[in-house]
Amino acid sequence: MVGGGLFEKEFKQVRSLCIFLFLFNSFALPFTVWSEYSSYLDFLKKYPDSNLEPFVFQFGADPHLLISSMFLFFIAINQMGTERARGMMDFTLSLPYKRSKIFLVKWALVFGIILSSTLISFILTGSYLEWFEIAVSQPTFNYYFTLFSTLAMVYTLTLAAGTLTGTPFAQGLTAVSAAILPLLFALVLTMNADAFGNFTYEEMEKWFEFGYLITPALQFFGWRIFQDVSSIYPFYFLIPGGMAILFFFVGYFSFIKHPNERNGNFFLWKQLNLPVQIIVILLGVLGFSAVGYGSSNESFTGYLIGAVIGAAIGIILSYYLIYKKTKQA
Amino acid sequence: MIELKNLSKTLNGERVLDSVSLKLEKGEIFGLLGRNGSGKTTILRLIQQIILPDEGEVLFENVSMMEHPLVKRKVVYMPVQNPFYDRYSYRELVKILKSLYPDFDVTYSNELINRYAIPETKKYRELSTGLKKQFSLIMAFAIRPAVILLDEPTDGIDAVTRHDLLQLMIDEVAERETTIFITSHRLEDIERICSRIGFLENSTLTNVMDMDSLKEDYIKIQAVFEEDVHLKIRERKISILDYSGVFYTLLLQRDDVESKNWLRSLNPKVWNQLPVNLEEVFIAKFGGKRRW
Repeated sequence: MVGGGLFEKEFKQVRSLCIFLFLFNSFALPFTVWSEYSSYLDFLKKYPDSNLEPFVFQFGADPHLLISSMFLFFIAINQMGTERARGMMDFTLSLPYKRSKIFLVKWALVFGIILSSTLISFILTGSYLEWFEIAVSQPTFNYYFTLFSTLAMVYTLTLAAGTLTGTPFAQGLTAVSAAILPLLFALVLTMNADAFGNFTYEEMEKWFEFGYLITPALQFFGWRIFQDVSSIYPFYFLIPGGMAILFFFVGYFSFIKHPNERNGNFFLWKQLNLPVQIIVILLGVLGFSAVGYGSSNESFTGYLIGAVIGAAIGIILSYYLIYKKTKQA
Repeated sequence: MIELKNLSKTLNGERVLDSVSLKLEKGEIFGLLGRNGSGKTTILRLIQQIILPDEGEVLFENVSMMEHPLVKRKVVYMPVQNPFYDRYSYRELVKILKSLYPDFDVTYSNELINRYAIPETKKYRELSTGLKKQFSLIMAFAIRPAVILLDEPTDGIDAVTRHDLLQLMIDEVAERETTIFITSHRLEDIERICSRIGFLENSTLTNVMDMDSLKEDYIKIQAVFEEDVHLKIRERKISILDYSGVFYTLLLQRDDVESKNWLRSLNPKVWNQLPVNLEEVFIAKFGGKRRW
């Protein structure tokens, strides 16, 4: 098999995390369904006269998605940021493979684990639910599509962040920031519009809704409004799925032109420094100005003071994060 | 065998390499010399496509290594440290490398591992610096490459291990005609094994020459003058290897008759013409800016 050796080498580098992910993602949800339903039946056996409501399995009520995503987050950091920081990327890039193939193998290895483990989980859970005719909070297919596309998106986003950044910390921070960026922007823009614009509440709610729908980390926020998104919108899984494809291409093309210089810079691509700094400052200004406006009984002075504080924090934060070099091992 | 064509690279805004060209032939051992930070390792990393050149290309038997990385099965790079090896033992690494390089010769690597008594079950990170170097070199040779790129292979190891390593390289070239591209600060090693050398200075490759012609091209002069002529010699831009009072050791190009005649005109009391070694040429070339 062409690239078989590369698969083996990549797997060995993240073997433990991959095995844990596979086992957890395959069996955690079937186990939860079995455990909850068994407890329900035991309860009914013990108290046959109790007026218990029929059992309905709540998809998404457990931390399954969060834990699997954490595994994927650390696998992606291992594959890019840590590999580069420890100098192992030199060995990988010196191998007789195209860079495109190296990226594809890294990605396909973990994508395959997500796909196979989600499939196993789906078959086990689906069979159990069907066999015992257990009612569910949303269609099983629907939940699994969302779960699969979200896991693929989280992994691809973190991997792509690694192709743009120079350290594991920078990779993690970039991935997390990108994952919440649309929601943050929606939030601060809505707050500013509330302060100055003559917009109706419905209009602002629409912007906010658009913002959170395109937020990669949406599924991880505990608020009910976010938890119910995948049941309210049956085709929601297409959004993380589409984002996974987008992040894949970002990572793929960045890796092909990968500078791979261990110089401790936050971004491998210097051209990203200024635009990202501007985004950080902009978020600081908009966020703090809206807070200043709200906390000063809606005064313009409060808004200005907030903007100045936000700009200062944005400048300092972005300077230390983006322009300050970290030491390399 | 391998050809560098107008390679240029800028790192952190600094032009590290500027239009470097070089051609290495089969069975040749080429030594690259230069001060720390002159770009020697960068050249090796560019050849192996670990970093990509801003301009230029690297050809292996007239095939672009960037467009056809499969040819890297025949080009192996041994860096100063190889963190990828750290967590594996010899046996584990052989399995990995065998799957990455189909020509990996397990019999040959077993033979060398036994010859140098390298523990097979110890992890690479647990080995001493000398054993690590030997281990890496054995792995590199067992891949059966046509070209091997060695970055400071004898750095930080004792004289016996160094002797063994150099002998291993010489044997490899003699038996298999492997081309070796080596960078080292140990000039005596370069002098011992290299057939050709080049100097990397001011981002360019200069004075690419045969080792034999280096000795023919330069001469060392030991002279004793009646007075201190240090300033006069500096003004003439003659390389001073060493001086103490009126005793001078100077380096001249053999065909620089003008300088030789000028030195003679200073009426030295003692005049000895001696052969040079590589270290003296290196010091004259790179230490010169500091010295005079």
